[in-house]
Formats: sequence, structure tokens, C-alpha cells
Amino acid sequence: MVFAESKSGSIILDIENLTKIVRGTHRVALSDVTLKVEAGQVLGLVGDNRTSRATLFRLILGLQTPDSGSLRIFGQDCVSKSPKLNNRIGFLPENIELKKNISAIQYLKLIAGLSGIQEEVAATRIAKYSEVLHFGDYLGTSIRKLSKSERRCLVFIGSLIHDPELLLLEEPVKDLSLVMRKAVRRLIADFSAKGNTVIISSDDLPFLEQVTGDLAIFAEGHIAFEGSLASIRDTRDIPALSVSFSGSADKFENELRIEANRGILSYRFATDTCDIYFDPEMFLSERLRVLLAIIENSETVLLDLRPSAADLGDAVDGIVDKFRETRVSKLVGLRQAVEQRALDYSEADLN
Amino acid sequence: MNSSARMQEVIKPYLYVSLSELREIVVKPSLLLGFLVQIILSVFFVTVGAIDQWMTSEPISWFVILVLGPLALIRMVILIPVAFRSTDRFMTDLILVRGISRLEYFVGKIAAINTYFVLESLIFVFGVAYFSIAFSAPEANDTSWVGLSCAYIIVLVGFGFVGSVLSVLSASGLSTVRTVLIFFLILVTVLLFSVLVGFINVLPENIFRSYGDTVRGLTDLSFSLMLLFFVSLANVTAAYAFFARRDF
Repeated sequence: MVFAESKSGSIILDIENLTKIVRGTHRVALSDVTLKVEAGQVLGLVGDNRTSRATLFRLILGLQTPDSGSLRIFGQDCVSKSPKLNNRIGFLPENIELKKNISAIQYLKLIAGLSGIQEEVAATRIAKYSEVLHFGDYLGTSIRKLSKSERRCLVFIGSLIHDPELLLLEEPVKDLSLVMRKAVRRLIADFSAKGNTVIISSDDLPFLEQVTGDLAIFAEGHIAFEGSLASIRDTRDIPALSVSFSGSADKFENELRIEANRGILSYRFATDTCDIYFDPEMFLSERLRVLLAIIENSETVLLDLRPSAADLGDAVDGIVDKFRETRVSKLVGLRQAVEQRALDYSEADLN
Repeated sequence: MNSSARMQEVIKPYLYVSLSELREIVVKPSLLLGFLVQIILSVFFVTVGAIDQWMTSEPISWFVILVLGPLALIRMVILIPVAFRSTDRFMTDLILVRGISRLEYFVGKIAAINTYFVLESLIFVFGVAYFSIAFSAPEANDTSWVGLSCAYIIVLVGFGFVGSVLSVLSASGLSTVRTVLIFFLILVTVLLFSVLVGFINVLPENIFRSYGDTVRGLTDLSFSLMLLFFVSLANVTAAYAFFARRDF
């Protein structure tokens, strides 16, 4: 599937029926995965385990080879591609291991040298990205003395230093402060605005919601769903109401708990509102009646009431659960068919 | 692009990997400690050789067998099993993803390790030999520089062979602990077998004497050395074949 929001139309990453079993553990990391990513797209990868997503990145980077299917990156097959093609890709790994005996600037110069970048160009880019990520003060610091978040920033700068066209990010805002998260968000927006492509693997859905336009959801090595954030939310058929009220939040919550057995599946308090998720079987009039009872009993005043957008996390969980159920029922059906066939054969033999 | 510039482009990645690895090796605390121990023991052997005239040409033999060999072995066991391990995230996530091919990385790393051992052993073997000769009485000085160079080549080929075996184990994807354990298992088995078939004489004085004879230019070991060199080369080729096919 090609995402609707794609900008230029040229396909950067073309994966067809890709399967990969992890050597050693024999775990199926990717099973019959088909995915296309276009230039300029910002795609988020989420799902029930990180192995699938990490394996996909390692296949793109040529650190692993597929067992079956094909993966083409910038039009070249991942098995026969030149290693130099990686110069067009920037990669930020989740688990960062660095040489600790050198300073941050020495590390960046080393990385720039390995990427074949001239010193002057490297210096300009280091200065630029250090400023954006508020890292300037740490350039002379030994890597040994850097915190986890500072090391993440350092590697982030390293992943951008060769001006890649495709950025692969694993948990880019893990361990980062709010200020840093904002800076990373801005960096990704600027990067993609130039027509470059970003693929982000993360479990941080609020962050993905802010930076990506599309998501691919992995479940048991398969892509269970792919599409825009809106289309993912639409799959969640639990109607929710967003309620704004004045009065005691504790009393309101107590009443919600009492009413929980009468059609309220879950609720979530935001800054000044409360999202209430109802049983989809309930009519609107029933939902409003329950809500008014809560307002009355908690002695609060209703200020505003509107339909709430479905929670992305709930929608993703729902897709993964549904995918699993479908697979289980398919497997059960398959098993029953095999057993029936075996029974038929044995009866035929007896006859 | 002219041929010279193209050549530079080809060589550059190897050189970059090699130099960065060499810098990393040189500042490794455990190796620095080994270097310090070697300096102290070198001074000891030179002093003893100079005081006791009967040992004039022997310090270098004693030094290689008792100090350089074991210390180099320890350092190889520290350095090589971790060289190509799968869990080295720096190698996989930050080097191999940067347009550096596996061949460039492998050759660069092997070159860095070998350069370190060649330079370091060169300094010590010829340092100990030079000062032993310089400080000892002329009449007791029977070390031949040609013989000493041959002895040094023996040391190098020996190191190279040990390193190549460790490289194969490491590049095949074994964990660091398993690489070290299997290496020592191979070492003990080969030594026991060699002693049993009489290939190695385990008496220390015979070992020292045979090495001393080589230092004095009395023994020709060219065939054995050639054989060992080619076996090492085959080992390194096998190590690369493993490394190039592995999943990281």
C-alpha cells in the first residue's frame, strides 16, 4: 500500500513478501511483510514487539539478509546493493554503545570521516545540529561523562552529519527532556520538509502522533494495519464523549466507577476534560442518561460535552488484538480441517 | 576523477577504520597496563643480562619466551575475541551502517591489531637485544643480528597464527567467553598432541637452547614458518567468510 500523503511519488523503500527468521532464536521476526514508503513520508512503526521493527531496520541497513521476499532501497536490492548506499541513510539505534575514551567532537569527526565528509563541511553541520539540539556545551566533553540523553543527542547528530535522504530512528526521544523532545520534533519536521523520508520505530504513541502522518502496526511479525493516523482511529468503534465540568474531580471519578458496570468501558482524565468510553451497544440517549446521572450524583456542573477522538493507543491495541484473534481462529479452522481430512482418509481406508 | 584520486578514495575507508581502531587499542587501559609490565620486565632482563656475562645473548631468548610470548597471548585474548562479536553495537550500528563495507571494516581492524603487535614487539625485541649487547662484555656477545631478525619473524608468525585462530572463532559468531574457552581448549589439545608425538620438547632448557640457536643464526626454520604463515592466511580468509555472511 502506498500512503495517500506521500509527496514526491518516488518510492524509497519497496518491500514485498519479506520474511526473516532470527538466527539462533529461530523466532519469526518478519512474516510476509509488504510495505512501500515514498520520498518525503514520515512513517511510524509500532506494534507488539520490537524485534520485528529492529529486524526491518537491520535488513534495510544490510546488517541482515532476508530469508525470502525482496527489499529494495533506493531502487537497489538489499542483498546486492553497494555498502556505499548506506551513505544516503541515517540511523539512530535504540541501544547506544559508544567508544568512551574520546570526546563528543572527536566521535563526530570520526563518524564524518567514515562517511567521507570533508572537515569543513562536517564542522558546519556539527555546529548547526548541536545548536538545534542544545548540545554545543557538551562537544568537548568525554563520552564517558555524558548522560544517556546526551549520548542519544550525540548519536542523533552523527546520524544527520552526512545529510542523509532517509532517516531510520529507533525510540528517538527515549530518555529526553521535554525541551529536547521539542527540538527533536522540530528537527524531524525540518528534515521531512526538505522532501526527505523518516521512519520512526517507537512505543511512544503521543510522540508519533505529533511527528508522523502514517503508521504501520506490527503484530506477530506481520503488518496488521497501515494507514494514516485518522484511519487508524476510525478502526476503533468504541464511541467516546469528552466531558468538561467544574466541581470535585474525585467525586466525579467515584461516580464513574459506580457507573462502570452500566456501560462505561473506561475513562481517562486529561488536563481539563475527561474522555469517557461507552459500550458501543448503547444508544446515544442511554449514554447521555448515564452521564447526566454522574453529573447529578457528583454535584458537578457540566460545562462542555463533545464527541472525543478515539485514543490512538486504544486503536492500536484494538488492531493488534483483532489481528491475533483472526489468526488464532484461522489456525483453529485450519487444524479442524486437517483433522477432518485425516478422519476422512482413515474412514476411507477402513472401507 | 584521475587514478590517483580514485586510489585515495579506495584506500581511505580502510585507513580510517584502521587508524580509529589503532587509537582505540592504544588507549585501552588493560593493554596499557600490559605495556607497562613489559617495560619493567624488559629493564629487568637487560640488567640481568648485562650483569651475568653467561647470559649475554640469552636475555632476548628468555625475554621472548617468558615475557613477550605470554603477555602478547594475554593481550590477543583481550583484544581479538571482542573484535567481531555480534553484540558490538558500535561496530554494527555506528560503523557498518555508514557506507563502510564489511571487507573494509574487517581488513581495517585486522590491520590495526597486527600493526599494534608488530610495532610493540619490534620495540621490545630489538630494544632488549640492543641494550643487552651494548651493556654486556664484548667477549660474551655472540648475538647475530641476522639471527635475531629471524627470531623476530618467528615471533611475529607465531603471534599471527594465534591471532588468526582467535579471529576465526570470533568472526564465526561465538560469544566472547566461548571464543576464549574454545581457543584454550584448542591450545591445550595441540600442545598435548605435540608433546606426545615428540614434536615439542617440553624441557625448558631445550626450548631456550633452540630459540638461542635461532637468535645466533644457527637454525633454519623457513619451511615451518612458510607453512604457518599460509595456514594463518587461510584462517583469516575463513574468518572474513564468516564475518561477511553473518547477521548482526
